Amino acid sequence: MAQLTMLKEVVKSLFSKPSTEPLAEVEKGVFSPYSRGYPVLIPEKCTGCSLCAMNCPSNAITMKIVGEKNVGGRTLPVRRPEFNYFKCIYCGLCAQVCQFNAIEMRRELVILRPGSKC
Amino acid sequence: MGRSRIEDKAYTEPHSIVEVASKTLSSYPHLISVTAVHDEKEKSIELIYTFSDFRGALKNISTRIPEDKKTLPSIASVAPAASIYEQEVSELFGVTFDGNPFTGKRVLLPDCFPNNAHPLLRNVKQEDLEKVVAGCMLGEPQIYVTGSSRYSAESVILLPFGPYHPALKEPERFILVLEGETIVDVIPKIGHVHRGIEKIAEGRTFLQDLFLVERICGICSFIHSWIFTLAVEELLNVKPSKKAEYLRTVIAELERIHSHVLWIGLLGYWTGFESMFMWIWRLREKIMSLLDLLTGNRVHKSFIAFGGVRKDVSDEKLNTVAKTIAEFEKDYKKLIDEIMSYEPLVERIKGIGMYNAEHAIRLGAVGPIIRATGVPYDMRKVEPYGVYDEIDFNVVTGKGGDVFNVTMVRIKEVLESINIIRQCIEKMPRNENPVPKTLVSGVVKEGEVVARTEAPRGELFYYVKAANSRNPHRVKIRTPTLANILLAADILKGYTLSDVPVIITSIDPCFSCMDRVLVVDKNRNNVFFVDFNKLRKESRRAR
Repeated sequence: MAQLTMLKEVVKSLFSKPSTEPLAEVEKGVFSPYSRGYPVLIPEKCTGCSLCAMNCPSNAITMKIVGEKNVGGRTLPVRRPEFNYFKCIYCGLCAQVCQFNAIEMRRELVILRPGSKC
Repeated sequence: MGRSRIEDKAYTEPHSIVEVASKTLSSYPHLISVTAVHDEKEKSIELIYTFSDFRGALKNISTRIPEDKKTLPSIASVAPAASIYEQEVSELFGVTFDGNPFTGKRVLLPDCFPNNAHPLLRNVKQEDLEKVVAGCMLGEPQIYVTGSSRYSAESVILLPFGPYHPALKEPERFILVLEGETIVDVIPKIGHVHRGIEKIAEGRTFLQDLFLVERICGICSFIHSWIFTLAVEELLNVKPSKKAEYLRTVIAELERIHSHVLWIGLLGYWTGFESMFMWIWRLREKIMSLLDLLTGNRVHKSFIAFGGVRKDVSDEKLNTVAKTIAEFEKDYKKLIDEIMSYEPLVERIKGIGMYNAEHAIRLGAVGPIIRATGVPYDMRKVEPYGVYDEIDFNVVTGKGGDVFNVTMVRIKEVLESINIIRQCIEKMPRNENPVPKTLVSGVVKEGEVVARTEAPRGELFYYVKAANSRNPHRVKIRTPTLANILLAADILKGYTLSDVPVIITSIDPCFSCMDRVLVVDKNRNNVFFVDFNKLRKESRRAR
């Protein structure tokens, strides 16, 4: 009788789904619905004022020079914030201090695979 | 309330400080803190002794000593609680206190730290400190038995307890002097988790500091950011909206429940009743998910802002809180009834670590430790901040200090907190915007503010000085554990070795909270911190 029960278990586990799921299948719904998400720049709205970088509590934002623009005959550098997601504490302060709503707190999960870029 | 500008400091000469302190102690029996402020322009160090009576009045006594002759008498003979606060100042500012029992010993900084380096002086740069610390760590490992040389007789045994010990959740060292199995003396050595928060705070803006001070503690993080906000709001003359005050109070009380319930669970762990630990921590998860619901984070809430809170909370969420809290209360009462009727546990914690009110006041104890002896010292009643003055609640007191009474005080405080949250949700103004228009504080005008709040572990004290700049000139933090540690070490005497974990942890120690001073930069000194790949290579070679 005991062997029969054991056999039943074996057959069941052979044909049932594994209790762990591959990472690709849990892409949605991993973030807590209340979390603030992670900051993402909307480059079209950004003016390069660097208010976010000045107020970031963990100094995770650096202003990078990405190009040049002509203002009244002078060439000025164009600056855009760059986020270091390893330093970031995901507090959302940068999005809140931005006057132009150029930083969005996004919730969709990005899955990093070997070789993929941030 | 909860904070006040320092306007009337009583100036005294350094040599008469003992006399003045003993006079002050007769009407203000509780020494809160000894704050040192370095003034590099006037080349002097100001020492502010803050005293309080137990009814909300503060007395600040100030004295100035020149930079080149940093000596003054210690007040430890009249106020024993001062010894640890003075020692903190002495190690961080290089001030010598004549007659302090800790003189010549290292309590806070590592033993290898050079004698002439004093991290909190304004002219010491962070980069220089990093070099000092790196040099210190590269040396040979040294083993010290701090201050135990007077016990060289053969009848006693010196037993190091910690820094790494299964009973302690954080590294801290106590050297126990044993006679047989009985403890005769305890020498604390704190400071294994110094992070340099007071020094870092001076180099960051007020807004950035708000997030820094939140990281002092992983359990009572919100109360740290709230007290800092109270101090800065006083400096900026900003008043938060009523809804913001209510929301802050709700979060702080949820945090108190979570902290106390965590401790009660750990009590089970320390006394060998591990099922209790699991049951209670399962209950605590309800509170954690409420914190997640309200603020977006479970631990470091990042919820508060100067002049309000950072996001509004909908009515729907508040109703969920009220519902979950009611469920929690029912489960909690049932569980506590079951646990406290289990005799082996009650017998284990009854009558150990005994102390009385006088003893606790003399050594400067705060929080549930002092309330267990019957002294109703609770900052929420004594100096109401938030909306505590509009809410009807009782201060829980016990019948005499021992581990059992401290436990009972914490158990009842959880129920009291549930009561406060329920009232807050009922009274909360619904149609109001608690989010301030601007979050950035900018330049803060000159001023000194002291703030006091009731953290889950007891009275928390902040001193913030602004000097017309974006950064604070000085932030002094006195956490409840530092106030309680002397009493914890003192009441161990006379008990056996097996009682040590239960008694030490009965003060709900948060060692990381009281250690804030050293700076370790792992980016610049890769000698000490080995990266993963190197470690892997090394391990292969070893094989």
